[in-house]
Amino acid sequence: MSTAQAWALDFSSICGEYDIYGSMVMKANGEASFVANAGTLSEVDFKLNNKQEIRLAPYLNRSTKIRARVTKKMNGKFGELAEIKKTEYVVPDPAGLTQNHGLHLIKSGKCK
Amino acid sequence: MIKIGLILINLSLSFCLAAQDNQLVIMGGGGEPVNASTTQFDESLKGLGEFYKNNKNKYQTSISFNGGHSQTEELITKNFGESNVMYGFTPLNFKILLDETLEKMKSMPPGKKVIVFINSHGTESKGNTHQVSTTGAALVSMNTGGEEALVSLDRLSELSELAQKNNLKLFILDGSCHAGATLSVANSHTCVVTASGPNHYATSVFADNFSKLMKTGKNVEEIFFEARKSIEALGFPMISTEAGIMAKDDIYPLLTPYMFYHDEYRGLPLDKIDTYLKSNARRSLVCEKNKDFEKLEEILLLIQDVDKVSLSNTDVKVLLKKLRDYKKTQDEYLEELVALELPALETKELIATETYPNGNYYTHKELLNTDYLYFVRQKENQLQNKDLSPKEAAKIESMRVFFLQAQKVKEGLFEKYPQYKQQEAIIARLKNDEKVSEQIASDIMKEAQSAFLKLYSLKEKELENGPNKRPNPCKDFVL
Repeated sequence: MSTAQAWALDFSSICGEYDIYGSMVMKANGEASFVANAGTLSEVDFKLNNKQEIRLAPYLNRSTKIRARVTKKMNGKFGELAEIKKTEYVVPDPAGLTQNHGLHLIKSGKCK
Repeated sequence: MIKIGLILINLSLSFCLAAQDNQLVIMGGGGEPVNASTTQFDESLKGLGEFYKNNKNKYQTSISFNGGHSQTEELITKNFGESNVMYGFTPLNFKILLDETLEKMKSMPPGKKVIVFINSHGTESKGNTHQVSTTGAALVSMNTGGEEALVSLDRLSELSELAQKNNLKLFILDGSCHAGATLSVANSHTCVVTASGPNHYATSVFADNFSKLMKTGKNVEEIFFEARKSIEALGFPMISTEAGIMAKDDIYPLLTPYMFYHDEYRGLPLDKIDTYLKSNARRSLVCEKNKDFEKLEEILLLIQDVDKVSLSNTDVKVLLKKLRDYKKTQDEYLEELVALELPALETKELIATETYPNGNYYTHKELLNTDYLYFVRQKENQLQNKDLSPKEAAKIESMRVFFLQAQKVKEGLFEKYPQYKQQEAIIARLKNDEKVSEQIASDIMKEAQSAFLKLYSLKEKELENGPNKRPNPCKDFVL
């Protein structure tokens, strides 16, 4: 498993399967997102479609790991998830003692 | 003669500028009710005001605090009138202040000092640190805050990295709840002091006391000790020195469950003990808890033994008794919860509606953890938007129906598995049980202070005798 913490370099163009640590959030306009590296320069904001919002409702504002497929290049810090395969609650890691934050590339794939 | 005069004026001006190269940045006071004239953080403004008055020539001061509370604003004007005042601790002002501080730090000569004093409400860990509340909205949760009114303190690492790079001295005080999460930005040039650990609430008393103890010539480490001794309220203050981190790592995780309690603050639940008991009601976890407690007892008894030899008088017996009593109470609750033999929380239930015929499978854990009515309200709010196309409105309506259905299934779980209802009833009992009240946890925190301080001095001795002496940016930061 390779880590894509330095995604700002070229992550935006790498599609594939990822483990993403973050939280589901509801924006003021009612839109749902899954945000990784919140509040940092490496923040990534995946806008969720209705089905994904339903899937992730139990994870609102909670520290979460999702395994998801990304098939479209990022537009700046914004992206989309093609499919969410797995979800789980995780313990937050504020001191960065583990790798439990950001994006971890599991398997690269082609961008559509 | 005129030339000499000009040279002298010039010299004194450049002396003033050079001396004022140090920076004092004050921020916070957010998340307070809008209809009040003061905030609970005002007391620290008095202490900081004194420090500012006595050190005007040494520290260039900027303040972004509160907003919309008349008496607090008067206090700011009275105490910091000549400094750079930004009324309102808004996300934008927070950004501007951090950007300005970073810019100033870039041109500061090596050895100069920067103080960042933050006193606001704080959330649990998020990102590399945590978030604090800003002006504009009262706090809606004591654990997670409210999404719209928070700023992340992760950007403080930009200051600490620059301090290290440019050989500056940086001191950050985070006086908020769960502030221990901010220790992660400390480094060899940055001292971080926090009002509590990452898992616990704090009151503003620690930051208030700290601000009043800030006197010229004192170093941050000694003020930390003084402020820690003087608090009688909730919180587990921490410091980023090597000894502080070692002492914290030894006992804080083990003490954590015994500093949880149930209470309310302005109608918001302080409910960490509820979550802790619910998520630990399994035989295997109860065993782990017992092992952890034995480890804690060992450490505390070791502290007492070392103390007897050194003839100082740390008495951990009181702490041990309080811990054992509280553990007994927690064990009784856990025993009741374990005996319920709750169905496997990973059992899945299908939620489906006409528009979502394939629906979604949620585990019991997910269903019980979710406030589906929140999502129903969100959808109802979205439907108020008159600019929605019929197609968009239909989609939102179908989501609303789905979440209503999920709520029904959740409620059905309580009927199908009465144990879940019993679990709720047991947890509801906590609300009125004095044996899990703030007072119990507060007494333990108070007693734990002296154990922590003793352990700290033991760690210091250990480090002194060790082969590598590392820098202590807290002791080196002399006000």
